[in-house]
Amino acid sequence: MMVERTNGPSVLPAARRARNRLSGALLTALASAFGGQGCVPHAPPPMTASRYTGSALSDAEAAQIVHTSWEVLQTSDGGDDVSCDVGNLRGGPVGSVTTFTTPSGVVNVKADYDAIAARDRVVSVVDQINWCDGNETLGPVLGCSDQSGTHMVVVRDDPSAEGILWAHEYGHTRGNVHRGDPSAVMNPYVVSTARRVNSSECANYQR
Amino acid sequence: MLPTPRTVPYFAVGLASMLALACAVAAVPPPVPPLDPPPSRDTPGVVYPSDVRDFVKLIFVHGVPYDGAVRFGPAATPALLAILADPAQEAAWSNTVVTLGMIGDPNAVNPLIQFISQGDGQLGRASYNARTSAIMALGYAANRDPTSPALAYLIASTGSAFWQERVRWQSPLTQDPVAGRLALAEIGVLGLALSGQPPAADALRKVIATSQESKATAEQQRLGLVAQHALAEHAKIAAMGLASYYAPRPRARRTPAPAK
Repeated sequence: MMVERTNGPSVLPAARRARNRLSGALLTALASAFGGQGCVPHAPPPMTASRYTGSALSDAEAAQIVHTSWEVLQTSDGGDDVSCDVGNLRGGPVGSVTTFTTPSGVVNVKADYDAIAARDRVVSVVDQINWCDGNETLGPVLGCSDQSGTHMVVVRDDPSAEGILWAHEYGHTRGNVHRGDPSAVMNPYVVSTARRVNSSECANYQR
Repeated sequence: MLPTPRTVPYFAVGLASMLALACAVAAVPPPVPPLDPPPSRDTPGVVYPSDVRDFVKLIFVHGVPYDGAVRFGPAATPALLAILADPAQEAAWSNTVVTLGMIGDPNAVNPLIQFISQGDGQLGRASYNARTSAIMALGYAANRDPTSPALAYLIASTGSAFWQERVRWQSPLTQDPVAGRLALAEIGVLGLALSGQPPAADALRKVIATSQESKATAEQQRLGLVAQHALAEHAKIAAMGLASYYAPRPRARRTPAPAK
């Protein structure tokens, strides 16, 4: 095997060695103090949005829904809820909402889902989802996502619940599973009070 | 005099180094919790309302839960049919028809069939979604009773003229009547899968065979693709039953799409 020699050691191995050698507490404090400001932290991928050409979603609506999702996660609502700042949601989706014409806006088979997911958009809005690739089941649903993946597909429904719906599906893409608590974002049904995320769910959102 | 690199105080160099090191440490990905095999979407402790009228008003992210719906039993049929008859409760219609189908009360089948045909002109989205959900719901009903008219309806729905004769309303999703009828035929094919009944499998094979003929239209080819998928799901449902099909189970990890 050929090993390419570089001009000196890379900074990451040096950082790893330093983490072992130096005071862990001091570095961790510095990393957390500067991680979100003075340098680029390890962060979830930026959110972008797409929609089937016949599905309604303006740039302003996408921004509003994502902002509501961020707000739901960010606000501490008591109990086991933590204030969870998911940085890549804070500013809304990146760029304008893009459109696609194929497949149609109805997801009926795996090939439909795969064609949408291949666009590598974090959220895609369609008209109907009757096959969910994440659950591998047939039946009409409002949201479907890759479990620990990069993609989620949603249907526009009750506007008052969309922020929570998107936060819920985004949670699945970050590895979160359902939690049987009507006040939890990861509850399998959405009500206006479903706003709580616990610390382990928050860690998944942020990684 | 402006400081040059030679005159930067030692403490500044030290601080910059510490900051650079801290940034590098922050950039080292934190340990990722093990996700292989991926966790199931199991929902221990989930609580559903005890009144079916409240149940169908919930916003189910991943669809009406099978276990949550069937526990209401046929006693819930009158309340559910009353919701279907009330335009003010249109937002709950989609969940209502699915719940009726999952319960599988034979008394609900004809009302469901009538509900599918109801309406004129272009439907609103909620109303249209309720109609397509009702078509799938017939599959749930047929799963419980192979002699149900629901199964005969779904088998007949794969015929080319079926939807033209049965519905007068138009889809809000397309202006093209051919595309609109194809969409309904696809839903009927998915309903056949949910039935898990042997005659449904025969009907799906017929759709597939038609789609593979040399003179098959693009619509028939698309319906054949959906029927192939439906046949695979039909086999699972026939083998394990709907309760197990919808029971939480470990999910296959998705292979990331290739970078473009």
